[in-house]
Amino acid sequence: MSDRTSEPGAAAKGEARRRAGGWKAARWVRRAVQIAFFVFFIYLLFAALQRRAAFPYADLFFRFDPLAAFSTMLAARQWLPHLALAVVTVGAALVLGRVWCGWICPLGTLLGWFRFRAARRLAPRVPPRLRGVKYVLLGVIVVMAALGSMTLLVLDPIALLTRTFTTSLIPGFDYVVSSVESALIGWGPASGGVTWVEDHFRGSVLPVYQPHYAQGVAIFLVFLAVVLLNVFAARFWCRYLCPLGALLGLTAKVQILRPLVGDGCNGCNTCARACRVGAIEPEAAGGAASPARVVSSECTMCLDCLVACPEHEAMSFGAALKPGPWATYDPGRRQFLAAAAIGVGTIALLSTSVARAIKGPGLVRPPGAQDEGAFLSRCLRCSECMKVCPTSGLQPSLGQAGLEALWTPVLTSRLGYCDYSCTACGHVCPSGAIPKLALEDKRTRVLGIAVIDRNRCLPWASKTPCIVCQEMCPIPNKAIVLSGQHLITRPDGTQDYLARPSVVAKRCIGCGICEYKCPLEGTSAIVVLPSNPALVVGGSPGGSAYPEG
Amino acid sequence: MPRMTITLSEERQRAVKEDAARRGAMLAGTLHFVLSQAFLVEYRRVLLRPAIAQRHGLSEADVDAVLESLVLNPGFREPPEVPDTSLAACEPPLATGDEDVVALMDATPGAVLVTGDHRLAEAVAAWRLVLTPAEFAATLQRHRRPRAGSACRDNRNTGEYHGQAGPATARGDPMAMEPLNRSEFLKLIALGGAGLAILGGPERALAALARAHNDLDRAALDGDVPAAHAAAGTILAVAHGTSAGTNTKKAVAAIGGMRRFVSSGDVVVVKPNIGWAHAPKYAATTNPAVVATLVGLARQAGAKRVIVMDNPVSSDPAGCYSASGIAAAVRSAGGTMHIMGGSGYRSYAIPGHLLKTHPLYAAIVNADVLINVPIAKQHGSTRLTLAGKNMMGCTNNRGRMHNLGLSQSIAEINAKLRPELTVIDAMRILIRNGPSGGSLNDVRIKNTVIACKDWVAADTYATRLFGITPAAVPYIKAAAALHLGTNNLAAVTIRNV
Repeated sequence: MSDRTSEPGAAAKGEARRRAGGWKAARWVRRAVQIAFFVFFIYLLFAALQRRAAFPYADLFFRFDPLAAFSTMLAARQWLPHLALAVVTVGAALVLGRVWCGWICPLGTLLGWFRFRAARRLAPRVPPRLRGVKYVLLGVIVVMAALGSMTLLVLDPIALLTRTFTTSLIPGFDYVVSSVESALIGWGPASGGVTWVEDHFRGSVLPVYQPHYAQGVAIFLVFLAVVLLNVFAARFWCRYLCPLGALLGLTAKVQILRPLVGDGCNGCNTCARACRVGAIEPEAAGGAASPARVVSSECTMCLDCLVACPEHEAMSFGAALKPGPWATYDPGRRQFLAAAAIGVGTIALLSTSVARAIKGPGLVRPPGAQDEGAFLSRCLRCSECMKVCPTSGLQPSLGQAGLEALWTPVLTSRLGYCDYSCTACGHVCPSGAIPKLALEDKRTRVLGIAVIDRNRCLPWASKTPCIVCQEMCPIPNKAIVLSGQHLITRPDGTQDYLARPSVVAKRCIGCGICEYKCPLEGTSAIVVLPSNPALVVGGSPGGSAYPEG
Repeated sequence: MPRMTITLSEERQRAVKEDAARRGAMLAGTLHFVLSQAFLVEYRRVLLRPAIAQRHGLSEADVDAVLESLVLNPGFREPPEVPDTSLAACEPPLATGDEDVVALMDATPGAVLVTGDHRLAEAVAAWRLVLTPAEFAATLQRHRRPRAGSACRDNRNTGEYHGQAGPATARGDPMAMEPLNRSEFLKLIALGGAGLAILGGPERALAALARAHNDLDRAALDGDVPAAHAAAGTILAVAHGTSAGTNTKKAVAAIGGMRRFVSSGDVVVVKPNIGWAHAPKYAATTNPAVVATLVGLARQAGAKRVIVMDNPVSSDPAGCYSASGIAAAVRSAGGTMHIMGGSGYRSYAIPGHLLKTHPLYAAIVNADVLINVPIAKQHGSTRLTLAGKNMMGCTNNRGRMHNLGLSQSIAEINAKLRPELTVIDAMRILIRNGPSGGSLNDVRIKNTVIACKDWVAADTYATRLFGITPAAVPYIKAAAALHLGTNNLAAVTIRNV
């Protein structure tokens, strides 16, 4: 032990105190950077407005996400240059390990803020081997992607967080704001403030219409579960489950710059207790001879250990070219085989779904995404398309395309239609599952076909005047035609024209505005079904909707 | 854009001035025109293009001499630093050079823009005086020689305003004129780059034009109703002409002027049809120049705030506002666009036996003045959407109106909303496949604007444009039955202006 009273010892102490001060400052920088990236993430979410022209940077976080990028390139068997920036993240991991997890990842930052006292007591009881689950999960995702399936990308942390905000948090926030406004608008002193908020924020921070999303509650509960796992250990998801963390962790085994424990370690284990993700193995049984070890594949570079260490000479930050220590839970051959088996088994199980046998009535995909196989092998289930769709017509799917397509976008026309002048979804899709289309091209893509139920349609069923579907049809020469128009007079003396609508199949592109606007309560009298290519003249999905062009 | 500095010695200036006197009005300084450094650079570039240089046969030194002469005219002016950025959102969008043109006009009160560039003419709001080269030449001709009968569509045209556009000739290429002598051709080409064409002629012509423009502005505010009509009850004005802004002003002048409807300090809501994200040429949305002219007039009449809004049938209201050209035009005229969010609707008691109550936007109901500015469209076979139906954009529940009985519902919400002034945009109308439109084949140019305080009478008159009888439009009858106005045009004074 160092002599604390001797001169050289005092100088060393001063030096150590300075270094400690430096690490405290570095930790503040880390916190600031975390907050900055989180705020930036939220900003990008709100900036992805529901407009016909998409915000081009909405998918920025996905472009740097190597799990999303490499999985989709693997599943689609194609190099996707738009996602090439993910290599930067891997490069950063080679140098600085899981710095993404500790400094950049918005889900990681958010989970870092939810700390429960019980975790202090419960964390040591969680078996360390559980850390291996994330590696197996990563393996399953990779195996499935290699076989063309992207189903488990729902577990990508950026996709998870984006989907939660899109389908539950932002709609809920808007509901609260709008309700408060409605309550206050009649009250004199507040109405000016309400008007000010509406003038400045409606259409930007606040959506124009209250968004409604299918399974918003379920998606929120998944997120809540991830947060509540923190009861058992701080950042439980990051430690034990996150597949992106697993990918970066494997890369971090060979990270160049890392926290190092030197000879001065006295085995006090303060660092192990301070570590936010439990990445430091305390001094093994054997006394002072074996110092603490930082497992680099678990370390998220939060720098708390460097601040906490009382023997400031003991911990340092520096280059080490030797791979990090191999822990018992790190993946080996057995884990790889397990992952392969689980992956293959999952694909096999999902393939027995009914959706593979028959095309369900709700399977209407966004424009350009009509090739189901190609679409499913690229869709990240990120819900960016749902975020920007101006009508909120794109909804997370449940049974429409089978469980393997869980939370992929389907156009639910009763909730929102595909606007004739819009190309937003294709322009925000990170992987190109929905292609970027020019407007004139998008207008030729047949999504489905409208079908009228004459037993419910007002003019057909009850001689009640209504021509809303024909009015709303955006095709310049109309895909719905009216017949038998004549004036009727009601008992109360009011008059209107009665005419019966029929769909012109070869012109209809299945945009769904007719289904959306049909004034019947509940199910519409005109519904959009996935189109049968045989019925569309000269048409295959993606062909021109009208022969005259 | 590269900057070109022109410096001339005194002797050279004198020589050029003498020369200029021989070259006609513009170079001699009897016709005031405005130029800027940017234009000079562009002219020089255009004049030196091989195809054009071949026609005028001038050397580079000669071209410089011509431009020097222009510079000496007292109208040389630099546009202000920052053009209004909202102009960049015009439909069609302004090219970079064109923003300078508009900025230059704004810096020069009373300036007249003569251009053969259709895009520029269309994009620039009609409260600036814009003429095609043909119209300008015709104006100069009228002032030089006795006026030939103008070929106007309606024989009852009083032709009171000199500013009225002449025969609706094809908007021509300034180069496609009658054969000119060499010096006039030179002048023509010298300004071909920006589309300005001067044929020489007295400055009086232009001054008369500007004067007429000011007279029209004054009449649009204070009214121009002859004594005989003043006592006659409801006046319905029908304005004809190729300029939407001028037509709007004429129509409003003819029914008494904006000050009759808007008082100082009023909150005015203008409700156009902004239902679709189509450019104005598709006649699916109200002509932006008509909307902007009304906004400008309301502001000049003393309105505290002029707000423009619509709840579009399609999605993305902000996108509709900008694609239709209305947002940019309204902002240039000093109005504000408003997005109708969900929390702004309240349920109101509705007169009549059908609806009883219905949600309407509170800010519209509470406005001091409501101006209804629909575009005339036909759809179905004989259905029309005019002023009455345009008020459906004030509610967020159209479905209930369709379910219960559309025509009666339209009449009833109008009974609640009671717009003070109705101006029907019939510059372009949609005769088929409405209300969404999307094909230019379904658009007809009518170059008409109708104004009346009684929307029932206005709609009744507007059916004529489609060759339909008013009896064939059920909501007009329903509205007349509720005493919201008259559908008997004999009871109304119709003025064609």
